[in-house]
Parts: sequence; C-alpha cells; structure tokens
Amino acid sequence: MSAPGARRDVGRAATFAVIALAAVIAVRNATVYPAIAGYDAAEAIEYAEGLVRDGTLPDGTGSYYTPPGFFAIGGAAIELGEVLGLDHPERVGQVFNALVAVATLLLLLALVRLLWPGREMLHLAAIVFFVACPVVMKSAAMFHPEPLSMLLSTVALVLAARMLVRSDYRLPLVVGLGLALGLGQLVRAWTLGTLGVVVLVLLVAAVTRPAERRRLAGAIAIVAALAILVPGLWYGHQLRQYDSALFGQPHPAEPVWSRRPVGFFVGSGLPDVVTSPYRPSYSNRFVPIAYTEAWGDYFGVWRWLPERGPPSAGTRRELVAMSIVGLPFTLVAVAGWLALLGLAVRHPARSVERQLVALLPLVALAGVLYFGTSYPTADGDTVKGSFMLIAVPAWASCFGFAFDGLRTRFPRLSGVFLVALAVLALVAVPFLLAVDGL
Amino acid sequence: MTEPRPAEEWRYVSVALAVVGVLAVAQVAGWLVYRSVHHGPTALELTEKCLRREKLLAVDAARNDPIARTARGGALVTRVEDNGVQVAIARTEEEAKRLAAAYLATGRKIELRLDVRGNVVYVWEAPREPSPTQRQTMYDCWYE
Repeated sequence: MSAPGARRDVGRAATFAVIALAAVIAVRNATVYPAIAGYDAAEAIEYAEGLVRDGTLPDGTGSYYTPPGFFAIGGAAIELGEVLGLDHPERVGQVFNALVAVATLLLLLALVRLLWPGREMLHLAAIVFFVACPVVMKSAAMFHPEPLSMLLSTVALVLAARMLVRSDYRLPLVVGLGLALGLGQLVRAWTLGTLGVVVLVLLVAAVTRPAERRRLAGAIAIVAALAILVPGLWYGHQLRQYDSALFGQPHPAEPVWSRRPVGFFVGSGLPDVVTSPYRPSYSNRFVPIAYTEAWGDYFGVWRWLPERGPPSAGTRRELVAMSIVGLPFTLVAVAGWLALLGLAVRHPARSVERQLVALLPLVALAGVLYFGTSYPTADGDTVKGSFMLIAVPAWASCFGFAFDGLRTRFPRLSGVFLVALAVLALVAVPFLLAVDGL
Repeated sequence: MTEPRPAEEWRYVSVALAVVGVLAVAQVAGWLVYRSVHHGPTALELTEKCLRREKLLAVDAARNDPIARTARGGALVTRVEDNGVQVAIARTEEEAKRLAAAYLATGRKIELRLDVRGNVVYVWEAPREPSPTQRQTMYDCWYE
C-alpha cells in the first residue's frame, strides 16, 4: 500500500498533467475551429468590429442586449489579427478565449483547494470533470463572451471562498471581489447569478459568525456597491434605449409559467437523448437539450452543421458515445450538488464557503430555465449549454466532492473508481478536439 | 471554522446518490411504461402535422408515385410556393439511398430535383433546383 504522501503527489501530478493537456487542446482548437461556426458568431464578430473600429454599439440588432466587455477585447484581438496579417483575424479572439478557459481551470484548482484542502483526488476529479465536459472546450474555441464571464464568475468564487476560509476581509480582497462581480456583468448578464450567490453566502456568514459580523457587513456593502456601480452605465444605456436593462426582446403576452407545456419541464427525452442526441429530437424539452448541449452537440456547432443535413453515421456514433459518457459524470455531480445543498440547509454555519458551489448550479439552472420559458422557441434555441457555463466550475466541484466521498467510503474500490474516471475521460478526449474544416 | 466530518459528509452523499439513483430509475421506468401504453406519432404523421399546422400546406398521400409508395416510413405529396414535392420517408439511410437510386434510374433527369436528407427523400416537380425557401420549408418539417 502506498503512503498517503505519495498518493497526494500522484494526485497532484495527475492534476497538473490534465491541466497541461487541456491547455494544449484548448489552444489547438482555437487555431482550427472556424469562428463563423460558433454560437451567434456573425453577430459577435460584427459587434466586436463595430465597437473597436467605429466606437458604436449595435442599434437594436444582433447581440445588442449583450454587454460590451468581451467585444471590446475581441475587437482589439481582431485588429491585432489584422496587423499580424492573419487570414482569419478573429482567431486571436478565439485564442484569447482558450487561454481564458485554461485560466478558469487553474482558478477551479485554487477553489477546490480552498474548499477541501489536502484532498488531492477530489481536486483531480473536479479538474477532470471540467476538462471532459465538452461545453467548456466548445465555448473556449469560439469567438463568444461566455468563457470570459465564466472566468470572472470563478474569480469571484475564489475570492469569496478565500475571504470566508481565512476570515480575511481586507480592502484589496473585498474590492477585487466587487470588481470581478461588476466586470462579469459587463460581459454577460448570467453573472448576475454569481453576484446573488456570493452576496447570499456572505449574508449567511454574517448571520452565523457573530464575531465577524461587522467586518462582513462592511465587505458586503462594498461588494454590492461595486457590483452595481461598475456595470451601471451599461444598464442605464440599455434602459434608455430599449426599456430593459437585460434582454429587451418581445415575448408572448401570457404568464411565464404557461408559455411552455408541462412536458418542457419534465420530459426526459428518452430514448432519443441517448440514441439521437441532436436537433430536432426532443426540441421542446428542457432537461435533455441542456444535457446534450453540455455533453454533446445538440444544435450542430461542433461536429455537424444543420444546414448540411443530419449528422453522418460516424458523427451520430460519436454523439451517442458522449451522451453515454456524460451520464455517470452528471449523476455523480448531481449527487454531490444535492449533498452540498443538504449540508448547507442542515448546517448553514459549517464551511459556509462551500455553499458557493452548492448554490451556483441552482441559480444558473433557474436562470436558464426562466430564460428558456420566458422566450419560447420551437427549436429550443434559448436553452444553449453555454448559458450555464458560469456554473461548470461549481458542477465540477460537486462532482469532485461526491467522487471523493465514494472513494473514501469504499477504499478498496478506490482504484476502480479512478480507472473508471480515467476511461470516461479518455473516451471523451477525441470529442474535445475541434474538427479541422467543419 | 467547524468542518463537517467525512463520515457525516458521506451520510449526505450516500442519501444524495440514492435520490439520484431513484430519480434515474423512475425516469427510465416512466419512459418504459409510457412507451408500452402510448405509441408516439410516426415520422410521417409528424411531417404531415407540421406541414398542415405550421406551414398551412395541403398534404395528400403519394398515390401516383410507385417508388415513393415503397418507402417503409410512408410518403406524402404537398406543394410549396407553387412547386410540388413528393416526400418519401425511409426507415434507414440505406433504404433512403435505394429510393434515391430508384428515382435516378428512371432517367427522368431528376438530379436537380432530387434531395436526400437523412432518411427522407424529396423529389420536386419543377425541372430545376428548388429555391432555398422551398427547401427550407420542407426541412423545417423534417422528421425521421
């Protein structure tokens, strides 16, 4: 039997090996994947070019409801690509997103180390989940704002966790947290969910830690003020122009809860979610679309393109394989999430910082479900997997938590669990590689 | 700060794993029961319903097309922007290829009018390629 120290070293080495492999894949994908194939790519490129070249925001067209944070960077990246003489200057923006995804991966490692110090196998499992979940690599290869919002959301989680773990409420840390939450909203409105979760968890800490209450109250005030002030100008502009700070699109007049049939909320999409995991299967079902978007390519942006007909037999096999690979990952992650939620409810004063990763998936799911219900489309287009990207680091933490629980409860099967994890990850790797000339 | 002990953590993880397991089994069991008592609409029925309700097109059975009539998933005819189209739904891609080959073998110079999308074979009436909007109308109601 190997010593615990040696096992820790192996776990740490494996974790960094996975991160290095992920970095190579992400950057390689960004140089191969055609930007125009990504989600809303034409609108994103047009927005970025207009913003940097003419200093203008879209006038009620394209992605006008998306804040300009990423597009300012993306536009500068396109300019740099042109200076470098690239055939596809937007590639620089894609490489930026790949590096952002790698930075998020490192932040995830920092987060799980803060929440569960010394549990190297938990850290490894969380990192493997994050890398193997295709929605991360898909988004990281695109010219799209979501990876940057995931990064800023994870920065906020790490800073909040650090504050709570170390009872460290010094001004630079608090200001950093407020800025991360404010800047996140300047990239994507989904990060409002992170803001809500961080403030709620800080409030729980203030209630359950009387000795730190004053310092926590001060921190919450500063964080909230910065998170409102930083994106304030943008929200003001949107309100003036479109009467809505977030998404001023027309929607059906009926109440939100009756805009979708019951089947949208409860339909499992079986058996198509495994046998035919691509559009238009289960086009009016929330859970299977969200699942397939996370673990496969429902809308046809990664392995197939809808305008060229349905996926080929080979692609179908790949999509089916990924639907199967995603099942154990998802079930264990959901179990970890429920366990952390249970602990948060029953023992709110214990390890308050872990509530950050317990609550974010809930809030992100609720946000996407609300959006998908409020703006119903026949093809499920308002249920894109990338909308939940900010929650992937939290889901990865939940997976790591449950995986490590299983491993420590059944030490004799520990090797089997680790081999199973490695096999699942290896099966997923080919799908993580963008196809040259999609 | 007080940390939950691993044994206590495991209590929550084990209950959560049991809940997830029960939910997964319930989903599969629910689907099996549903499938045994409720036979869902066929691709032909879905296509026909979509063309009638969403595209407001008149749909009829493909009675006069001997090749379409052999399609195991059924066949129908409709008219999009004044261009008639036969829709033959195969059960497999191989069958769809056989149907397409049968059309090509008729020698009616239908290469331009013939379109295969997955298991579905479209044969357009006008002696030219269908317009993008005509083709998209049919693709919007594509089921297999």
